[in-house]
Amino acid sequence: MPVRVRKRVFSSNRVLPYLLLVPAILVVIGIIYPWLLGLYQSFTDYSLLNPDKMIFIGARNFADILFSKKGLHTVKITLLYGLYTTSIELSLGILIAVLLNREKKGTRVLRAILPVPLMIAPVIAGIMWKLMMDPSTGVINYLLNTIGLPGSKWIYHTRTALISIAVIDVWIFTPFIILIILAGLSSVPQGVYEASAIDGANDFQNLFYITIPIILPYILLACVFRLIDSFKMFDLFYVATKGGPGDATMNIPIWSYLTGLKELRMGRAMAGLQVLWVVNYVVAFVLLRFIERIRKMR
Amino acid sequence: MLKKAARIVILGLFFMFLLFPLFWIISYSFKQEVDIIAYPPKFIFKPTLQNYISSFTGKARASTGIFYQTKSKLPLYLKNTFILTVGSLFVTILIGVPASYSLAKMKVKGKQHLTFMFLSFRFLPELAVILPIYVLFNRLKLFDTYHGLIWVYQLITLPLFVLIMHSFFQDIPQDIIEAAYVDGATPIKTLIRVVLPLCGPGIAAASILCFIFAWNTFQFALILGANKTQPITIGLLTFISFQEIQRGSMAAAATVGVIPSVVFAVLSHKFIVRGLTLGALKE
Repeated sequence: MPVRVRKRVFSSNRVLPYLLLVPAILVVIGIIYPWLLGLYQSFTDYSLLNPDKMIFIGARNFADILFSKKGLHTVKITLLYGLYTTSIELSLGILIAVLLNREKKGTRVLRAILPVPLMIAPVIAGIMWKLMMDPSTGVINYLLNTIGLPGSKWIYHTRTALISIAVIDVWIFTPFIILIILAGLSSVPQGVYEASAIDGANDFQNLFYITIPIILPYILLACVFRLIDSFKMFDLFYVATKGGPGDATMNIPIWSYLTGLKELRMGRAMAGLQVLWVVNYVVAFVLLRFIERIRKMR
Repeated sequence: MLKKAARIVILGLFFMFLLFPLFWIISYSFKQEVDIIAYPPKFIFKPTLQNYISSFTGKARASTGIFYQTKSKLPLYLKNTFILTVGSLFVTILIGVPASYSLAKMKVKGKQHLTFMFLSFRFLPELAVILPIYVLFNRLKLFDTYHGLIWVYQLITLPLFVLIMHSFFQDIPQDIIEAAYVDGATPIKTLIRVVLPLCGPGIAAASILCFIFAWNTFQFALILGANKTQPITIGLLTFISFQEIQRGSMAAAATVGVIPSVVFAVLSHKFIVRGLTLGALKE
Protein backbone atom coordinates (compact mmCIF):
# COMPACT_ATOMS: atom_id res chain seq x y z
CA MET A 1 0.00 0.00 0.00
CA PRO A 2 2.71 2.60 0.83
CA VAL A 3 4.40 1.91 -2.51
CA ARG A 4 1.25 2.72 -4.44
CA VAL A 5 0.79 6.01 -2.61
CA ARG A 6 4.38 7.01 -3.31
CA LYS A 7 4.07 6.24 -6.99
CA ARG A 8 0.93 8.31 -7.36
CA VAL A 9 2.38 11.29 -5.59
CA PHE A 10 5.51 11.25 -7.69
CA SER A 11 3.87 10.92 -11.07
CA SER A 12 1.37 13.68 -10.49
CA ASN A 13 4.19 15.98 -9.55
CA ARG A 14 6.61 15.43 -12.34
CA VAL A 15 6.19 19.06 -13.28
CA LEU A 16 6.70 20.53 -9.82
CA PRO A 17 10.51 20.36 -9.75
CA TYR A 18 10.62 22.36 -12.94
CA LEU A 19 8.10 24.86 -11.63
CA LEU A 20 10.23 25.45 -8.58
CA LEU A 21 13.12 26.24 -10.85
CA VAL A 22 11.29 28.68 -13.09
CA PRO A 23 12.01 31.92 -11.22
CA ALA A 24 15.68 31.04 -10.90
CA ILE A 25 15.86 30.19 -14.58
CA LEU A 26 14.30 33.54 -15.41
CA VAL A 27 16.99 35.31 -13.43
CA VAL A 28 19.62 33.17 -15.09
CA ILE A 29 18.30 34.08 -18.52
CA GLY A 30 18.42 37.69 -17.43
CA ILE A 31 22.13 37.19 -16.80
CA ILE A 32 22.97 35.08 -19.82
CA TYR A 33 21.20 37.30 -22.32
CA PRO A 34 23.36 40.38 -21.64
CA TRP A 35 26.44 38.20 -21.63
CA LEU A 36 25.53 36.76 -25.03
CA LEU A 37 24.90 40.28 -26.24
CA GLY A 38 28.35 41.21 -25.08
CA LEU A 39 29.77 38.14 -26.77
CA TYR A 40 28.24 39.22 -30.05
CA GLN A 41 29.43 42.78 -29.54
CA SER A 42 32.98 41.55 -29.08
CA PHE A 43 32.99 40.61 -32.74
CA THR A 44 31.95 44.09 -33.82
CA ASP A 45 33.32 47.59 -33.61
CA TYR A 46 30.45 48.65 -31.38
CA SER A 47 31.10 52.05 -29.92
CA LEU A 48 28.86 54.09 -27.67
CA LEU A 49 29.61 57.09 -29.82
CA ASN A 50 27.80 55.48 -32.73
CA PRO A 51 25.48 53.01 -31.07
CA ASP A 52 23.49 52.37 -34.19
CA LYS A 53 26.39 51.62 -36.48
CA MET A 54 27.65 48.21 -35.45
CA ILE A 55 29.81 46.54 -38.07
CA PHE A 56 30.82 42.94 -37.81
CA ILE A 57 34.59 42.85 -37.86
CA GLY A 58 35.20 39.28 -36.96
CA ALA A 59 38.09 38.51 -34.71
CA ARG A 60 39.93 41.78 -35.10
CA ASN A 61 39.28 42.83 -31.50
CA PHE A 62 40.67 39.54 -30.29
CA ALA A 63 43.70 39.75 -32.54
CA ASP A 64 44.35 43.19 -31.15
CA ILE A 65 44.25 41.97 -27.60
CA LEU A 66 46.23 38.82 -28.08
CA PHE A 67 48.84 39.99 -30.53
CA SER A 68 49.39 43.69 -30.06
CA LYS A 69 52.02 44.99 -27.67
CA LYS A 70 49.48 46.75 -25.48
CA GLY A 71 47.15 43.78 -25.52
CA LEU A 72 49.83 41.32 -24.55
CA HIS A 73 50.92 43.65 -21.77
CA THR A 74 47.40 43.66 -20.36
CA VAL A 75 47.24 39.89 -20.47
CA LYS A 76 50.67 39.71 -18.89
CA ILE A 77 49.68 41.99 -16.01
CA THR A 78 46.55 39.93 -15.41
CA LEU A 79 48.43 36.65 -15.31
CA LEU A 80 51.31 38.08 -13.30
CA TYR A 81 48.94 39.41 -10.66
CA GLY A 82 47.30 36.01 -10.39
CA LEU A 83 50.69 34.38 -10.05
CA TYR A 84 51.95 36.78 -7.37
CA THR A 85 48.85 36.66 -5.24
CA THR A 86 48.18 32.94 -5.47
CA SER A 87 51.76 31.88 -4.81
CA ILE A 88 52.24 34.19 -1.85
CA GLU A 89 48.85 33.41 -0.37
CA LEU A 90 49.26 29.66 -0.78
CA SER A 91 52.71 29.55 0.81
CA LEU A 92 51.83 31.88 3.65
CA GLY A 93 48.43 30.28 4.09
CA ILE A 94 49.73 26.73 4.32
CA LEU A 95 52.44 27.80 6.75
CA ILE A 96 50.06 29.62 9.06
CA ALA A 97 47.43 26.90 8.84
CA VAL A 98 49.93 24.21 9.76
CA LEU A 99 51.19 26.30 12.67
CA LEU A 100 47.66 27.03 13.85
CA ASN A 101 46.77 23.38 13.62
CA ARG A 102 49.74 22.49 15.78
CA GLU A 103 48.66 24.71 18.65
CA LYS A 104 45.50 23.45 20.23
CA LYS A 105 45.11 26.00 23.00
CA GLY A 106 44.21 29.60 22.46
CA THR A 107 43.65 29.34 18.74
CA ARG A 108 39.91 29.66 18.94
CA VAL A 109 40.15 33.42 19.17
CA LEU A 110 42.61 33.53 16.30
CA ARG A 111 40.36 31.39 14.15
CA ALA A 112 37.45 33.71 14.82
CA ILE A 113 39.58 36.68 13.76
CA LEU A 114 40.60 35.06 10.49
CA PRO A 115 37.44 35.83 8.49
CA VAL A 116 37.55 39.53 9.32
CA PRO A 117 39.89 40.82 6.58
CA LEU A 118 38.13 38.44 4.22
CA MET A 119 34.70 39.89 4.87
CA ILE A 120 35.64 43.55 4.62
CA ALA A 121 34.67 45.09 1.31
CA PRO A 122 37.76 44.99 -0.93
CA VAL A 123 37.11 48.64 -1.78
CA ILE A 124 37.34 49.61 1.86
CA ALA A 125 40.45 47.52 2.35
CA GLY A 126 41.91 49.22 -0.70
CA ILE A 127 41.22 52.67 0.70
CA MET A 128 42.71 51.69 4.06
CA TRP A 129 45.89 50.38 2.51
CA LYS A 130 46.13 53.27 0.08
CA LEU A 131 46.24 55.62 3.05
CA MET A 132 48.75 53.50 4.90
CA MET A 133 50.99 53.11 1.86
CA ASP A 134 51.27 56.80 1.14
CA PRO A 135 54.98 57.30 0.44
CA SER A 136 55.38 60.46 2.48
CA THR A 137 52.70 60.43 5.16
CA GLY A 138 51.83 56.77 5.38
CA VAL A 139 52.45 54.71 8.45
CA ILE A 140 53.98 51.75 6.61
CA ASN A 141 56.98 53.60 5.30
CA TYR A 142 57.36 55.11 8.74
CA LEU A 143 57.44 51.71 10.40
CA LEU A 144 59.85 50.37 7.79
CA ASN A 145 62.17 53.30 8.36
CA THR A 146 62.04 52.73 12.08
CA ILE A 147 63.44 49.25 11.71
CA GLY A 148 66.02 50.44 9.25
CA LEU A 149 64.42 49.40 5.98
CA PRO A 150 63.91 51.86 3.14
CA GLY A 151 60.42 53.02 2.35
CA SER A 152 58.81 52.46 -1.01
CA LYS A 153 56.78 54.43 -3.48
CA TRP A 154 54.22 51.58 -3.41
CA ILE A 155 51.39 52.23 -5.84
CA TYR A 156 52.98 55.36 -7.26
CA HIS A 157 55.92 53.74 -9.04
CA THR A 158 55.66 51.53 -12.10
CA ARG A 159 57.93 48.86 -10.69
CA THR A 160 56.21 48.50 -7.34
CA ALA A 161 52.57 49.26 -8.15
CA LEU A 162 51.43 45.75 -9.04
CA ILE A 163 53.12 44.16 -6.06
CA SER A 164 51.58 46.82 -3.81
CA ILE A 165 48.10 45.85 -4.93
CA ALA A 166 49.12 42.21 -4.48
CA VAL A 167 50.01 43.01 -0.86
CA ILE A 168 46.49 44.26 -0.25
CA ASP A 169 45.14 41.12 -1.90
CA VAL A 170 47.35 38.97 0.35
CA TRP A 171 46.02 40.77 3.41
CA ILE A 172 42.41 40.18 2.40
CA PHE A 173 42.55 36.65 1.03
CA THR A 174 45.24 34.69 2.90
CA PRO A 175 42.66 33.90 5.62
CA PHE A 176 40.55 32.26 2.92
CA ILE A 177 43.38 29.86 2.13
CA ILE A 178 44.06 29.28 5.81
CA LEU A 179 40.44 28.33 6.47
CA ILE A 180 40.39 25.86 3.61
CA ILE A 181 43.71 24.28 4.57
CA LEU A 182 42.58 24.02 8.19
CA ALA A 183 39.55 22.09 7.00
CA GLY A 184 41.89 19.83 5.09
CA LEU A 185 44.29 19.36 7.97
CA SER A 186 41.48 18.18 10.20
CA SER A 187 41.05 15.24 7.86
CA VAL A 188 44.63 14.03 8.27
CA PRO A 189 44.75 10.99 10.53
CA GLN A 190 46.92 11.54 13.58
CA GLY A 191 48.60 8.16 13.26
CA VAL A 192 50.46 9.27 10.19
CA TYR A 193 52.65 11.66 12.14
CA GLU A 194 53.32 9.12 14.82
CA ALA A 195 54.50 6.68 12.21
CA SER A 196 56.76 9.23 10.62
CA ALA A 197 58.16 10.19 14.01
CA ILE A 198 59.21 6.58 14.43
CA ASP A 199 60.96 6.80 11.11
CA GLY A 200 62.80 9.84 12.39
CA ALA A 201 61.34 12.48 10.10
CA ASN A 202 61.85 16.12 10.97
CA ASP A 203 59.34 18.92 10.59
CA PHE A 204 60.24 19.88 7.04
CA GLN A 205 60.00 16.34 5.82
CA ASN A 206 56.67 15.97 7.57
CA LEU A 207 55.38 19.04 5.84
CA PHE A 208 56.52 18.34 2.33
CA TYR A 209 56.33 14.57 2.07
CA ILE A 210 53.29 13.86 4.23
CA THR A 211 51.07 16.83 4.93
CA ILE A 212 51.06 18.51 1.56
CA PRO A 213 50.39 15.39 -0.49
CA ILE A 214 47.50 14.46 1.79
CA ILE A 215 45.84 17.88 1.65
CA LEU A 216 46.59 18.35 -2.03
CA PRO A 217 42.89 18.47 -3.09
CA TYR A 218 42.32 21.30 -0.63
CA ILE A 219 45.37 23.18 -1.84
CA LEU A 220 44.19 22.85 -5.42
CA LEU A 221 40.68 23.95 -4.53
CA ALA A 222 42.03 27.05 -2.84
CA CYS A 223 44.23 27.56 -5.88
CA VAL A 224 41.27 27.47 -8.26
CA PHE A 225 39.31 30.06 -6.35
CA ARG A 226 42.23 32.41 -5.85
CA LEU A 227 43.60 32.22 -9.38
CA ILE A 228 40.23 32.90 -10.92
CA ASP A 229 39.27 35.65 -8.51
CA SER A 230 42.58 37.42 -8.93
CA PHE A 231 42.41 37.25 -12.71
CA LYS A 232 39.09 39.06 -12.57
CA MET A 233 39.95 41.43 -9.72
CA PHE A 234 38.57 44.87 -10.40
CA ASP A 235 37.76 46.59 -7.11
CA LEU A 236 41.30 46.84 -5.77
CA PHE A 237 42.70 47.99 -9.07
CA TYR A 238 40.05 50.68 -9.42
CA VAL A 239 40.51 52.06 -5.94
CA ALA A 240 44.29 51.91 -5.92
CA THR A 241 45.54 52.87 -9.35
CA LYS A 242 42.93 52.59 -12.10
CA GLY A 243 45.56 50.94 -14.24
CA GLY A 244 48.38 53.35 -13.55
CA PRO A 245 51.01 54.61 -13.18
CA GLY A 246 51.14 54.55 -16.95
CA ASP A 247 49.83 51.08 -17.57
CA ALA A 248 51.78 49.30 -14.87
CA THR A 249 48.63 47.84 -13.33
CA MET A 250 46.43 47.56 -16.36
CA ASN A 251 44.80 44.18 -15.97
CA ILE A 252 42.00 42.97 -18.21
CA PRO A 253 39.05 44.06 -16.03
CA ILE A 254 40.36 47.59 -15.57
CA TRP A 255 41.33 47.77 -19.20
CA SER A 256 37.85 46.69 -20.27
CA TYR A 257 36.25 49.21 -17.96
CA LEU A 258 38.35 52.05 -19.32
CA THR A 259 37.99 50.94 -22.94
CA GLY A 260 34.24 50.48 -22.64
CA LEU A 261 33.17 53.39 -20.50
CA LYS A 262 35.86 56.01 -21.05
CA GLU A 263 36.91 55.33 -24.62
CA LEU A 264 33.38 54.09 -25.29
CA ARG A 265 34.68 51.27 -27.48
CA MET A 266 32.38 48.60 -26.18
CA GLY A 267 33.21 46.00 -28.79
CA ARG A 268 36.87 45.96 -27.83
CA ALA A 269 36.07 45.96 -24.14
CA MET A 270 33.77 42.98 -24.50
CA ALA A 271 36.45 41.08 -26.41
CA GLY A 272 38.86 41.47 -23.53
CA LEU A 273 36.28 40.16 -21.11
CA GLN A 274 35.52 37.12 -23.27
CA VAL A 275 39.22 36.25 -23.28
CA LEU A 276 39.25 36.56 -19.50
CA TRP A 277 36.17 34.45 -19.11
CA VAL A 278 37.59 31.70 -21.32
CA VAL A 279 40.86 31.65 -19.39
CA ASN A 280 38.95 31.40 -16.10
CA TYR A 281 36.78 28.62 -17.41
CA VAL A 282 39.72 26.60 -18.71
CA VAL A 283 41.63 27.00 -15.44
CA ALA A 284 38.57 25.98 -13.43
CA PHE A 285 37.80 23.03 -15.64
CA VAL A 286 41.34 21.65 -15.69
CA LEU A 287 41.95 22.06 -11.97
CA LEU A 288 38.55 20.80 -10.87
CA ARG A 289 38.93 17.73 -13.08
CA PHE A 290 42.35 17.15 -11.55
CA ILE A 291 40.92 17.40 -8.05
CA GLU A 292 38.19 14.91 -8.96
CA ARG A 293 40.78 12.49 -10.25
CA ILE A 294 42.83 12.72 -7.08
CA ARG A 295 39.75 12.18 -4.97
CA LYS A 296 38.78 9.13 -7.01
CA MET A 297 42.24 7.64 -6.71
CA ARG A 298 41.89 7.62 -2.97
CA MET B 1 61.45 24.83 23.10
CA LEU B 2 63.01 27.14 20.59
CA LYS B 3 60.77 25.73 17.90
CA LYS B 4 57.67 26.49 19.89
CA ALA B 5 58.82 30.04 20.46
CA ALA B 6 59.47 30.45 16.74
CA ARG B 7 56.00 29.15 15.94
CA ILE B 8 54.37 31.58 18.31
CA VAL B 9 56.40 34.48 16.96
CA ILE B 10 55.41 33.70 13.39
CA LEU B 11 51.74 33.37 14.31
CA GLY B 12 51.94 36.55 16.33
CA LEU B 13 53.49 38.52 13.49
CA PHE B 14 50.92 37.25 11.03
CA PHE B 15 47.93 38.15 13.17
CA MET B 16 49.41 41.53 13.93
CA PHE B 17 49.67 42.00 10.17
CA LEU B 18 45.98 41.12 9.86
CA LEU B 19 44.78 43.31 12.68
CA PHE B 20 47.01 46.35 12.35
CA PRO B 21 45.24 48.05 9.40
CA LEU B 22 41.91 47.70 11.19
CA PHE B 23 43.21 49.27 14.36
CA TRP B 24 44.85 51.95 12.31
CA ILE B 25 41.73 52.99 10.46
CA ILE B 26 39.64 52.86 13.62
CA SER B 27 42.17 55.06 15.38
CA TYR B 28 42.03 57.44 12.40
CA SER B 29 38.31 57.74 12.92
CA PHE B 30 38.86 58.94 16.46
CA LYS B 31 41.75 61.27 15.69
CA GLN B 32 41.56 64.97 15.17
CA GLU B 33 42.62 66.14 11.73
CA VAL B 34 45.78 67.58 13.19
CA ASP B 35 46.82 64.21 14.57
CA ILE B 36 45.93 62.40 11.38
CA ILE B 37 48.29 64.33 9.14
CA ALA B 38 51.01 64.48 11.73
CA TYR B 39 54.25 62.88 10.70
CA PRO B 40 55.78 60.87 12.32
CA PRO B 41 52.40 59.19 12.84
CA LYS B 42 51.01 59.63 16.29
CA PHE B 43 50.14 56.46 18.12
CA ILE B 44 49.04 58.24 21.24
CA PHE B 45 46.54 60.98 20.79
CA LYS B 46 43.52 62.68 22.25
CA PRO B 47 40.41 60.95 20.88
CA THR B 48 37.43 62.81 19.49
CA LEU B 49 34.04 61.93 18.17
CA GLN B 50 34.10 64.80 15.75
CA ASN B 51 34.71 62.62 12.70
CA TYR B 52 31.67 60.51 13.33
CA ILE B 53 29.57 63.60 13.87
CA SER B 54 30.87 65.25 10.71
CA SER B 55 30.41 62.21 8.55
CA PHE B 56 26.82 61.83 9.65
CA THR B 57 25.68 65.39 9.88
CA GLY B 58 28.03 67.12 7.52
CA LYS B 59 29.17 69.52 10.17
CA ALA B 60 32.90 69.76 9.76
CA ARG B 61 35.40 71.58 11.83
CA ALA B 62 38.09 73.53 10.05
CA SER B 63 41.54 73.70 11.52
CA THR B 64 40.77 77.21 12.68
CA GLY B 65 38.09 75.77 14.94
CA ILE B 66 35.15 77.15 13.04
CA PHE B 67 32.32 74.83 12.14
CA TYR B 68 31.15 74.77 8.57
CA GLN B 69 28.33 72.83 7.02
CA THR B 70 28.90 70.49 4.11
CA LYS B 71 26.34 68.11 2.76
CA SER B 72 26.93 64.68 4.17
CA LYS B 73 25.66 61.75 2.27
CA LEU B 74 26.65 59.02 4.70
CA PRO B 75 23.13 58.36 5.95
CA LEU B 76 22.02 58.08 2.34
CA TYR B 77 24.83 55.68 1.53
CA LEU B 78 23.98 53.51 4.49
CA LYS B 79 20.32 53.54 3.60
CA ASN B 80 21.08 52.58 0.02
CA THR B 81 23.43 49.80 0.99
CA PHE B 82 20.81 48.47 3.34
CA ILE B 83 18.02 48.58 0.77
CA LEU B 84 20.11 46.97 -1.93
CA THR B 85 21.52 44.26 0.32
CA VAL B 86 18.33 43.30 2.12
CA GLY B 87 16.26 43.64 -1.03
CA SER B 88 18.45 41.36 -3.09
CA LEU B 89 18.74 38.91 -0.21
CA PHE B 90 14.95 38.76 0.01
CA VAL B 91 14.61 38.04 -3.70
CA THR B 92 17.42 35.50 -3.57
CA ILE B 93 15.86 33.56 -0.70
CA LEU B 94 12.46 33.56 -2.39
CA ILE B 95 13.87 32.24 -5.64
CA GLY B 96 16.79 30.26 -4.32
CA VAL B 97 15.18 27.99 -1.77
CA PRO B 98 12.75 26.30 -4.17
CA ALA B 99 15.35 26.17 -6.91
CA SER B 100 18.06 24.54 -4.86
CA TYR B 101 15.61 22.14 -3.22
CA SER B 102 14.49 21.07 -6.64
CA LEU B 103 18.06 20.57 -7.79
CA ALA B 104 19.13 18.77 -4.66
CA LYS B 105 16.23 16.49 -3.98
CA MET B 106 13.97 16.13 -6.95
CA LYS B 107 14.04 14.53 -10.35
CA VAL B 108 15.13 17.12 -12.84
CA LYS B 109 16.55 16.34 -16.21
CA GLY B 110 20.00 17.81 -16.55
CA LYS B 111 20.29 18.92 -12.97
CA GLN B 112 24.03 18.42 -13.01
CA HIS B 113 24.30 20.82 -15.91
CA LEU B 114 22.18 23.37 -14.14
CA THR B 115 24.18 23.04 -10.95
CA PHE B 116 27.39 23.40 -12.86
CA MET B 117 25.99 26.48 -14.55
CA PHE B 118 25.39 28.12 -11.19
CA LEU B 119 28.94 27.22 -10.27
CA SER B 120 30.31 28.73 -13.44
CA PHE B 121 28.68 32.07 -12.64
CA ARG B 122 31.17 32.27 -9.81
CA PHE B 123 34.01 32.28 -12.32
CA LEU B 124 32.49 34.77 -14.69
CA PRO B 125 33.98 38.27 -14.61
CA GLU B 126 31.07 40.42 -13.51
CA LEU B 127 32.00 43.15 -15.96
CA ALA B 128 31.21 40.78 -18.84
CA VAL B 129 27.59 41.03 -17.76
CA ILE B 130 27.58 44.54 -16.32
CA LEU B 131 28.86 46.37 -19.39
CA PRO B 132 26.17 45.04 -21.76
CA ILE B 133 23.59 45.65 -19.05
CA TYR B 134 24.77 49.25 -18.90
CA VAL B 135 23.42 49.86 -22.35
CA LEU B 136 20.29 47.77 -21.75
CA PHE B 137 19.49 49.58 -18.53
CA ASN B 138 19.63 52.95 -20.17
CA ARG B 139 17.14 51.77 -22.75
CA LEU B 140 14.89 50.09 -20.22
CA LYS B 141 15.06 53.09 -17.87
CA LEU B 142 16.41 50.85 -15.12
CA PHE B 143 19.57 52.87 -14.65
CA ASP B 144 20.13 54.07 -11.10
CA THR B 145 17.05 52.31 -9.73
CA TYR B 146 16.80 50.07 -6.71
CA HIS B 147 14.88 47.32 -8.49
CA GLY B 148 17.26 47.33 -11.41
CA LEU B 149 20.26 46.92 -9.13
CA ILE B 150 18.55 44.31 -6.97
CA TRP B 151 17.98 42.20 -10.04
CA VAL B 152 21.62 42.56 -11.10
CA TYR B 153 22.83 41.75 -7.58
CA GLN B 154 21.30 38.30 -8.13
CA LEU B 155 24.34 37.53 -10.27
CA ILE B 156 26.34 37.47 -7.07
CA THR B 157 23.86 36.29 -4.49
CA LEU B 158 21.75 33.70 -6.28
CA PRO B 159 24.49 31.22 -7.33
CA LEU B 160 26.07 31.51 -3.89
CA PHE B 161 22.77 30.90 -2.12
CA VAL B 162 21.66 28.06 -4.37
CA LEU B 163 24.94 26.19 -4.08
CA ILE B 164 25.22 26.58 -0.31
CA MET B 165 21.62 25.45 0.17
CA HIS B 166 22.29 22.59 -2.24
CA SER B 167 24.95 21.30 0.09
CA PHE B 168 22.72 21.70 3.16
CA PHE B 169 19.77 20.03 1.45
CA GLN B 170 21.95 17.10 0.52
CA ASP B 171 22.69 16.64 4.19
CA ILE B 172 19.07 15.82 4.84
CA PRO B 173 18.58 12.06 4.60
CA GLN B 174 16.17 11.02 1.90
CA ASP B 175 14.35 8.79 4.42
CA ILE B 176 12.79 11.73 6.18
CA ILE B 177 11.37 13.02 2.94
CA GLU B 178 10.10 9.60 1.92
CA ALA B 179 8.51 9.18 5.32
CA ALA B 180 6.61 12.38 4.72
CA TYR B 181 5.41 11.15 1.33
CA VAL B 182 4.28 7.89 2.85
CA ASP B 183 2.28 9.88 5.36
CA GLY B 184 0.54 11.45 2.40
CA ALA B 185 2.18 14.86 2.24
CA THR B 186 2.53 16.61 -1.08
CA PRO B 187 6.05 17.63 -2.10
CA ILE B 188 5.33 21.26 -1.32
CA LYS B 189 4.01 20.45 2.12
CA THR B 190 7.09 18.32 2.67
CA LEU B 191 9.26 21.20 1.76
CA ILE B 192 7.54 23.67 4.00
CA ARG B 193 6.73 21.54 7.01
CA VAL B 194 9.59 19.09 7.15
CA VAL B 195 12.62 20.22 5.19
CA LEU B 196 12.69 23.95 5.85
CA PRO B 197 12.68 23.69 9.65
CA LEU B 198 15.56 21.24 9.38
CA CYS B 199 17.42 23.63 7.15
CA GLY B 200 16.95 26.70 9.29
CA PRO B 201 20.65 26.92 10.11
CA GLY B 202 21.51 26.38 6.47
CA ILE B 203 19.28 29.20 5.31
CA ALA B 204 20.72 31.42 8.00
CA ALA B 205 24.25 30.54 6.98
CA ALA B 206 23.60 31.12 3.29
CA SER B 207 21.78 34.38 4.04
CA ILE B 208 24.59 35.73 6.15
CA LEU B 209 27.16 35.04 3.48
CA CYS B 210 24.99 36.51 0.75
CA PHE B 211 24.39 39.53 2.94
CA ILE B 212 28.12 40.08 3.31
CA PHE B 213 28.82 39.68 -0.39
CA ALA B 214 25.98 41.97 -1.38
CA TRP B 215 27.03 44.56 1.20
CA ASN B 216 30.56 44.54 -0.18
CA THR B 217 29.87 44.69 -3.90
CA PHE B 218 31.20 47.63 -5.78
CA GLN B 219 31.11 47.07 -9.52
CA PHE B 220 27.35 47.00 -9.98
CA ALA B 221 26.63 50.27 -8.28
CA LEU B 222 29.67 51.90 -9.84
CA ILE B 223 28.55 51.32 -13.40
CA LEU B 224 24.81 50.86 -13.15
CA GLY B 225 24.05 53.32 -10.41
CA ALA B 226 24.36 57.04 -9.89
CA ASN B 227 23.38 59.58 -7.32
CA LYS B 228 20.18 58.04 -6.09
CA THR B 229 21.39 54.54 -5.32
CA GLN B 230 25.00 54.85 -4.25
CA PRO B 231 25.85 52.31 -1.58
CA ILE B 232 28.59 52.92 0.89
CA THR B 233 31.29 51.20 -1.15
CA ILE B 234 30.89 53.89 -3.79
CA GLY B 235 30.10 56.61 -1.32
CA LEU B 236 33.40 56.23 0.47
CA LEU B 237 35.26 57.18 -2.69
CA THR B 238 33.52 60.54 -2.73
CA PHE B 239 35.34 61.48 0.42
CA ILE B 240 38.48 61.48 -1.68
CA SER B 241 37.43 63.48 -4.67
CA PHE B 242 37.17 66.74 -2.80
CA GLN B 243 40.15 69.03 -2.90
CA GLU B 244 41.31 67.64 0.35
CA ILE B 245 41.01 64.08 1.48
CA GLN B 246 38.69 64.24 4.45
CA ARG B 247 40.63 61.51 6.13
CA GLY B 248 38.90 61.63 9.48
CA SER B 249 35.38 61.56 8.17
CA MET B 250 36.30 58.94 5.62
CA ALA B 251 37.80 56.76 8.32
CA ALA B 252 34.67 57.13 10.40
CA ALA B 253 32.49 56.30 7.42
CA ALA B 254 34.68 53.33 6.55
CA THR B 255 34.50 52.03 10.10
CA VAL B 256 30.74 52.29 10.08
CA GLY B 257 30.57 50.62 6.69
CA VAL B 258 32.72 47.78 7.86
CA ILE B 259 30.86 47.01 11.08
CA PRO B 260 28.13 44.78 9.60
CA SER B 261 30.68 42.76 7.67
CA VAL B 262 32.87 42.25 10.72
CA VAL B 263 29.94 41.33 12.94
CA PHE B 264 28.63 38.83 10.43
CA ALA B 265 32.11 37.51 9.76
CA VAL B 266 32.62 36.62 13.39
CA LEU B 267 29.10 35.18 13.60
CA SER B 268 29.58 33.07 10.51
CA HIS B 269 33.06 31.69 11.02
CA LYS B 270 31.72 28.22 11.63
CA PHE B 271 30.22 27.74 8.18
CA ILE B 272 32.35 30.13 6.22
CA VAL B 273 34.36 27.40 4.57
CA ARG B 274 31.28 25.66 3.27
CA GLY B 275 29.94 28.92 1.98
CA LEU B 276 33.04 30.28 0.33
CA THR B 277 33.80 27.05 -1.46
CA LEU B 278 30.17 26.87 -2.58
CA GLY B 279 29.48 23.70 -0.73
CA ALA B 280 32.50 21.83 -2.01
CA LEU B 281 33.97 21.61 1.45
CA LYS B 282 32.27 21.17 4.77
CA GLU B 283 33.87 22.21 8.01
